[in-house]
Amino acid sequence: MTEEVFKQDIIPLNQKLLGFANRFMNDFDDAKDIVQEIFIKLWSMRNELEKYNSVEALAMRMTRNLCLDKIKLKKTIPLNGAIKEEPHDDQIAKERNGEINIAVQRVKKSIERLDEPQKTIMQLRDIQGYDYEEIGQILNMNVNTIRVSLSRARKKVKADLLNNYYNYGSEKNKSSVREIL
Amino acid sequence: MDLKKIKALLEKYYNGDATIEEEEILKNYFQGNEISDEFIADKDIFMYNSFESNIQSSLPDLSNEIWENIKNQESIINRKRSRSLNYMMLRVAAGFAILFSSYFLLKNHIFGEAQTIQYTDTYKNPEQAYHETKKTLLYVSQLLNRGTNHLEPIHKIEDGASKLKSLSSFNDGLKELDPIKKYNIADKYIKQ
Repeated sequence: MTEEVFKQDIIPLNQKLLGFANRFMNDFDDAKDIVQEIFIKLWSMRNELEKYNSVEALAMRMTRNLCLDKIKLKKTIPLNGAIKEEPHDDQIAKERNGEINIAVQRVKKSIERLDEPQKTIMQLRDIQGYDYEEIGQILNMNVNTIRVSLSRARKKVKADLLNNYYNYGSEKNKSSVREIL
Repeated sequence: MDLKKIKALLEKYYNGDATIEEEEILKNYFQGNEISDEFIADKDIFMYNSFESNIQSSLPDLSNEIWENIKNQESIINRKRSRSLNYMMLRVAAGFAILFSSYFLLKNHIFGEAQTIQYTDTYKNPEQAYHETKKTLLYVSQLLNRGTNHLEPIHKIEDGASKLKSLSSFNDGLKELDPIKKYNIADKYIKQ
C-alpha cells in the first residue's frame, strides 16, 4: 500500500476509531493515544493491508483489543474512582443541562454495567451505525450471535433503567434508597 | 406518529430485528417533544444514542496529527537503527583494538625481556666501532689470562706424579721374587 493510498483510505478512519476508543476509555487523551498507536501499527503493516477484506473492521478490532488491554492494565490499580464519581457525575449533569444529560448519564451507566462483547456491540450498532455484517467482521463473530447479543443488551439496558430510575421491578426500593444516600 | 407503529418498531428494535432505516424512524420520533410516558426508558436510550452519535461525528479529525506521529516514529526507528549500526561498528573496532593491544602486551610478557633489548648503533663510524670492539675484547681476554696465570702451580703436581714412575722398578724387583713360591710348595710336600 502506497503512502498516498494509506493517507487517503486509512487515516480518515481515525474519527471512528477515536469515538470507539473514547467509549472504552472514558478519557479523550487516552483514546487519542490509542488511536495513534493503532495507526502506527497499521502503517507498519501497510504492505499486508490489501489482504484484508475490510481494513476498517481490522482497525476497529485492533482498537477494541488495545482498549481492553489498557483497561485490564488500569484495573490492576485498585481504584474505585469510577464508582465513587457516579453520584457526583449525576449531580453535575442535573445542574448543567437537565433532561438530556441526565438521560445520557443514566444510559451510560447502564451500558457500563453490561458485559463484553454486548457493550461493544451496542456501541457499534447504536452509536457508530455499523450493520450486523460489519460488526461481525470487527468482532469476528457470527451475524446471528450478534443479533441475539444486541437484543439482550438493549433489553438489559432498558430493564436497568426502569429498575433504577423509574421504580419498576422488585429492586426499586433498594436502588431508590441507594440513590437518596 | 402512530403509537402502535412505534411500539411495534420498538419491539423489533429490542429483538435486534429492526433495520437501520427503522431505527432511524425511532430516533427521529424520540427527538420530538410529544413522547408518551410509556416510552420513558426508551426515550432515554434514544436520547443517549443521538447524543453519542453527535459527539462521534463532532470528534476532531486527527489525520494530520497521526501522519506526523507516524513520520516521527519512523525517523526515531531509523535513527535507532543507524545508531545501533554505529554501536555495532564501534564494538567491532573496540574488539580489534583490544586484540591488537593485548597481542603486543602479551608478546613482551610471554617471550621475556630478552627480546625487548633494543639494538641500536652507538657508533656512527664502523671503523671506530671495530676498534672499540677490539679494545673491549682485548681487555676481556687480558682478564681471562690473569685468571689462568693463577693456575700455573698445577705443573708442580705433575712433577711429583712423574717421580712416582720409579715405582715401576720396584714392581720389577717383586716379580724377581716370584720363584719363592716354589719353595713354598716344597715346604708343603715336606710337611706331608
